[in-house]
Amino acid sequence: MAAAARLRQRNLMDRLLNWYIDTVRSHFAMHGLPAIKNPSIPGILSDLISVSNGLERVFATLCDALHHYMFPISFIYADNSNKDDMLARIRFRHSLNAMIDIALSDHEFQLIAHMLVEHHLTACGKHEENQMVDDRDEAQRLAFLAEIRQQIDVLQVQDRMERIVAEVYHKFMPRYISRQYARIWEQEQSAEPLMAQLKNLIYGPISRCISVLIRRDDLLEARLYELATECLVKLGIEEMFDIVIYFPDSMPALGYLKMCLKTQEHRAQLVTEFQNACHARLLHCGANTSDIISFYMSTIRAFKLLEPRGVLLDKVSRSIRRYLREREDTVKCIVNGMLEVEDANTGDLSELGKELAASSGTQIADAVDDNGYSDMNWVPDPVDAAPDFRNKRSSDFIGSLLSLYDNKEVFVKEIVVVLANRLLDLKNYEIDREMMHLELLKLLFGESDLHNCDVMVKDILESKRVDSNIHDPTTVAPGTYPVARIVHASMLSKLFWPAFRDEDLALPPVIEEQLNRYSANFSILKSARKLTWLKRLGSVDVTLELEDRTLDFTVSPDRASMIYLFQERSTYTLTELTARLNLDETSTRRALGFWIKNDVLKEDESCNDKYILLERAEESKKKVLVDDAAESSVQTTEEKATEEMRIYWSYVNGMLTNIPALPIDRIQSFLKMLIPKEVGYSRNVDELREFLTVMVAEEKLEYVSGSYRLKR
Amino acid sequence: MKVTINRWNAVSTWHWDHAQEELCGICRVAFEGTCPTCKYPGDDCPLIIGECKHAFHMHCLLKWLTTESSKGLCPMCRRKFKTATD
Repeated sequence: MAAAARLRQRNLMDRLLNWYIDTVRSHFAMHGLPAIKNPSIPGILSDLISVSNGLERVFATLCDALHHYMFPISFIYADNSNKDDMLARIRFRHSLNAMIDIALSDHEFQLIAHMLVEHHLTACGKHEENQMVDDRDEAQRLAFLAEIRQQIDVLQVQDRMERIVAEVYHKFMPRYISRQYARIWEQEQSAEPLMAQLKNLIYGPISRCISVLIRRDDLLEARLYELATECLVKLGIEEMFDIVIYFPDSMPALGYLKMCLKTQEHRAQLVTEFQNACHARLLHCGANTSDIISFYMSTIRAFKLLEPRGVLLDKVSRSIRRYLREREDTVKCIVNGMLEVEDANTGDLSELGKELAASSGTQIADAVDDNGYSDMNWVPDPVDAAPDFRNKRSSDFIGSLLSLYDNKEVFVKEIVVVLANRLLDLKNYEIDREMMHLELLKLLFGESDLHNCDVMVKDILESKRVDSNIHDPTTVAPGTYPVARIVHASMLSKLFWPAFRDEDLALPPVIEEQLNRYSANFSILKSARKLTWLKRLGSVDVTLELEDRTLDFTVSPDRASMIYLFQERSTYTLTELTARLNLDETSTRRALGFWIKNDVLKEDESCNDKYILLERAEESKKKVLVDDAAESSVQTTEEKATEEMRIYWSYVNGMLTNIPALPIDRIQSFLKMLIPKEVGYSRNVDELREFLTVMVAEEKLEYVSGSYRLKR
Repeated sequence: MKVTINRWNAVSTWHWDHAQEELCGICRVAFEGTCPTCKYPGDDCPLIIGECKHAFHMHCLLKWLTTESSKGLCPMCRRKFKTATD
């Protein structure tokens, strides 16, 4: 002590301390660091014990060194009351901490600490999953961590430890979340218990584990929990596409996403990610239109649950809607769905029909009170709403689908075509289902637009009445012959139906005769009116009695007439058949194909285009692939559109006479410019292209290197 | 082989047996269509044929005949309109 006092007087204390610090440093560098470093550590870090041992060894070495170096200092600067002594001790302590810090920034230490923390966090996670791991186990682990904490305190390396804990937690949580919460559909779970479970885990074992290791903080759990929800949101954003696909089985996933989706960034990210996924996985030519439509319906439902305001829905559905508008058969799919038509090409969208029945149709209001002046609960739209966002009644997806196009006309046209086909396919004038559908559609589209359909349905009802009158023996007018019971007819008001394909067909004479009687009777029943038969439309039930088998079919009139011919002779050539049936070759082949497929006819192997009746069934050697789909009896909407385009032909013709060759864009713009308002031109480029293609097929135009020109 | 036809569902369109004109001279809508006030063609909106052989939607002609200026004449040929009785 006395020596110390003397030294202090001579102002040598500082120099002594400096010298001592230097000596300690070089000593530590020579002996301390190598003792901590151990190249073999990474190799043996396989289990908890070796991890713990490694860490303990490092800490032990450091603590030893610390005590060792501190001892002389505490001896000299023993006087706690002296301010100089205090300062010197702090100074020495700082330099020691700096050394320890350097030692600990060693890669291996980081590794060890990481593994340790990670192990404990994982154990916490497991604990939650599996209650079998009992509390004693947890107590043990906590005790061990407390020990480490003591050494950390001695070495004063809390900062470092905090950083490591944070890093590990950041890595651990996403993994844990994606293991526990990814693709949790088809489970009888709802989101609330799942979230509660997560909260329990964080506020329980994880928080206990972490708060032993680092300084406690009031906000610790809250921050940990926030991080976990962040991970959940990320997971949900990644999974959104699948969530929609598996909807409604994916309700729990949707539930937690809804709870966690709070910030604008996440909302924006959700929209972008979802759109990207849509483009990559759905909106390409490989997907069926009906699939896209049902996906769109799920999207509407899912996003409506996620966010009832519909802002997100509005954003994500834009690209889907844009894509659907480009598809040619969208309208057809939707209409078929609404009328519950099952069609192999369009897929099953009968859900739409059910929805239509359920919603009992609120009419598409052309002008609604958008400003919401009358709504007392009005709140502003969220900030990320698009400028033209309107809170449409988009919860009902029929409305959304119908609003795909600017006008309802496209749907009305298609409905007329589909309904016409349905009505013509009827067997017994049973139109209850069609009437119900029509009533629902009328609620949706309004009476006036579907007036034609009304007339069509009434035609069938009227036909039923007239038909029963004609077959009623008591009302048969004198001088006419009764009509055979097998013949029934639909009498249509031509102007209100879509254009029919008027193609001729030579019917069996028996039937021809019956039809003549039928129309004679009709003219008596309805004076001053006559019937024109559309011979290729309708359906026929036939029974074929062959030598070894009896077959029943329901076929179109051309097929029936053809097989009727084979009663006379058992072989015909193609040309004979076309001549006898008054059919074109394509239709004849098609009809032949049908009977060949059903093993009633076969093509003569020795002679091409000669067909033989199979009185006895044969093993058919080759299966002919036939387009079995029944032809539509009325012109489809596309054909009709092309037909209507013909009025513009003279303009196109004149244009191309003046300028030899024009690309389609120029033709379109010329037509827009030139055609007088009274005629009007409102076709888009696609429709024009369709029409020009038909003109090319009719050899009026030719298409050369991107331009159209007149064919000479 | 014997082919038995069990049922033949035929399809036809009806038209008025009146060959001279296609359109009603008053409303310029096809006879097979309806006059402007009717919804359903056929029985609900019949034709009327005068002795002068001119045909109209019955509703159109009756309306015409009630107007002052018609003086009971056929709007096409300006002869007295009398319903043909055949």
